[in-house]
Amino acid sequence: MTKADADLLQGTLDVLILKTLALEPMHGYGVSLRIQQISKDVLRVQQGSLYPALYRLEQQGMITYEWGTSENGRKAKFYRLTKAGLKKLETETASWERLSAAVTRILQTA
Amino acid sequence: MLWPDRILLRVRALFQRGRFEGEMDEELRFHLESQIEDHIKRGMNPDEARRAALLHFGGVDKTKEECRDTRWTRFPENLWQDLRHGFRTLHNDRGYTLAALLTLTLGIGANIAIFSIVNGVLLRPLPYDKPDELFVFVALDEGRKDLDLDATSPPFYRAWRERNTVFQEIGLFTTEPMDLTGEGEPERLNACYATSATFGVLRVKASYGRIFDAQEDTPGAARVVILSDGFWKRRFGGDKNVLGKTIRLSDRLYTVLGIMPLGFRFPNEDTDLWAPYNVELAEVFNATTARFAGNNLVARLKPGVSRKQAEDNINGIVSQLRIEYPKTTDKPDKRLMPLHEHIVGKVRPALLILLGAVGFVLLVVCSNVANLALILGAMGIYGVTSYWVAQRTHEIGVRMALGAQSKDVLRMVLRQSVVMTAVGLALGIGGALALTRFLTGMIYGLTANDPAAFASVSALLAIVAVAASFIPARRATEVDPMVALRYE
Repeated sequence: MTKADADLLQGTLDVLILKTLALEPMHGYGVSLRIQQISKDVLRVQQGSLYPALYRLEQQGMITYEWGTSENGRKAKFYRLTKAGLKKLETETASWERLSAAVTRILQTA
Repeated sequence: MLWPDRILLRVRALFQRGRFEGEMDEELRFHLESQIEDHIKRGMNPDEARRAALLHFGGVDKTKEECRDTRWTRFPENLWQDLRHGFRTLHNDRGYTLAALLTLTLGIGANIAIFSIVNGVLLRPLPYDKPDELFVFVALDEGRKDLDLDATSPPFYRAWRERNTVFQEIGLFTTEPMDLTGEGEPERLNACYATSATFGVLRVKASYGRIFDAQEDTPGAARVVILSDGFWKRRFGGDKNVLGKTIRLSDRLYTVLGIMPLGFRFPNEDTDLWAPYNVELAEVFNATTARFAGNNLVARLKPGVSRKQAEDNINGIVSQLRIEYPKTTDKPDKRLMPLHEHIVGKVRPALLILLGAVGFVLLVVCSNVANLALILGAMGIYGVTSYWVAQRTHEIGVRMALGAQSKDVLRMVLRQSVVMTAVGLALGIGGALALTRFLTGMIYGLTANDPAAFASVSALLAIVAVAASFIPARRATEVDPMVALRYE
């Protein structure tokens, strides 16, 4: 994997995590299931790669966590979006839409 | 998140490594166990389910490592490795190391020494009540074109005391060695003959017994002596029973009248004892000529009187005296010098040798001396690190070509300066101790080697040094591997 790919992937993964958590607070396993579901294996994110991203986002103050009980009755770490995270998701979504619109336009005209 | 919060989080992460690791383990275990459970629900047998979950997860240890990497919890493990690497490179490049260490040791040592001296002498007021009012008499030395401590004669002293309108009190003192004999080892002592007024001028009291009073100034009074705290402890083991006993000094018996408190060291650092100065007795020898007699004056100005007014007043009296005593060798033009300046003045040559004239002027002008020392320290480490980075451009290029990240290069350069600063500090503190010892020998009333000064200066220097090396370190991260490799 080249560095550019990795950067792209990392950025994409961050946005996916933020989007997932925007719906409801969730533990890491839940996020991984959701992303798998949404991306339908296109991104092929190893589940383990999710955690460094979660830790990084927490470090950046985009998300925060508290310990709670999961649906299967275990102690689990639930992540939740912060205000900064929500804002970041909005800007990232907007710029993504701009970019994809531009790319679509180019692909259609050229 | 705000900067301080992030730093706090990271610092906390350092101290909560156990908690961080525990939480991380628990989180990942939860993930894997949930996955295994789900697999089993879909009909896999437990072994299969575990294998599939681990496969899908990817390397657990690798994940943990990457999670740790988002924090500074790796710092302690890396530190030792960094230090070892630092020492190894220093060892391999001995010429550079020697030069850098020499610079740093001199810089740091001089800084610490100067700071503690400055702290101890220039910035600390004299240990006397209202020290600003204290002055010594000085006169222009014709031969040396220099202001020197004025040596006056007892008749002049008496005249000044009686006729001046500007001083609260004037004290007369002179120094002379005395030989202690009798019990124990004979010893040569640094004695000071002082009038009772001298103690009054300085406003000091004895810690045990008493100081002289006017009665002791008169000829024929009983011979008494006051001991310095240092001499008392050294010779008599701090025994208070010595009060009232007699000791034999230069073949005369003196009764111990009092003991001065620790820190009273007048007029010299090593003055052991004080005996009364019988002005009238001295006058017998000097009355006719009023010749130089090696007597110095210390005076306390009345509140609100300026130095200039006081000088005019005494010089007016001097004009009268020169008519009364035509043969006097006493110098005509008297000046006053603050006692503090007179004492500090003795340091000047030593500091000049150390700093060079410019450095000293800067030091005196610069009211915040700590800044100066820090700037010097920062400049030293900045230069040294810059040089190191320049020397290693090729190596840095190779490292980056092999996949080193900016932060790795940054760390490589910083660890270099950390090791260097640490060694420099250790040597510098040693040097500073020697230097202050040498200087304290020359300065009266100095208590240097103040541990607080040493510690704070060392810490400050270390921080500034590393901060200063950050600039060249940042420059190193901007090395373009292609350019650096081709450069060779």
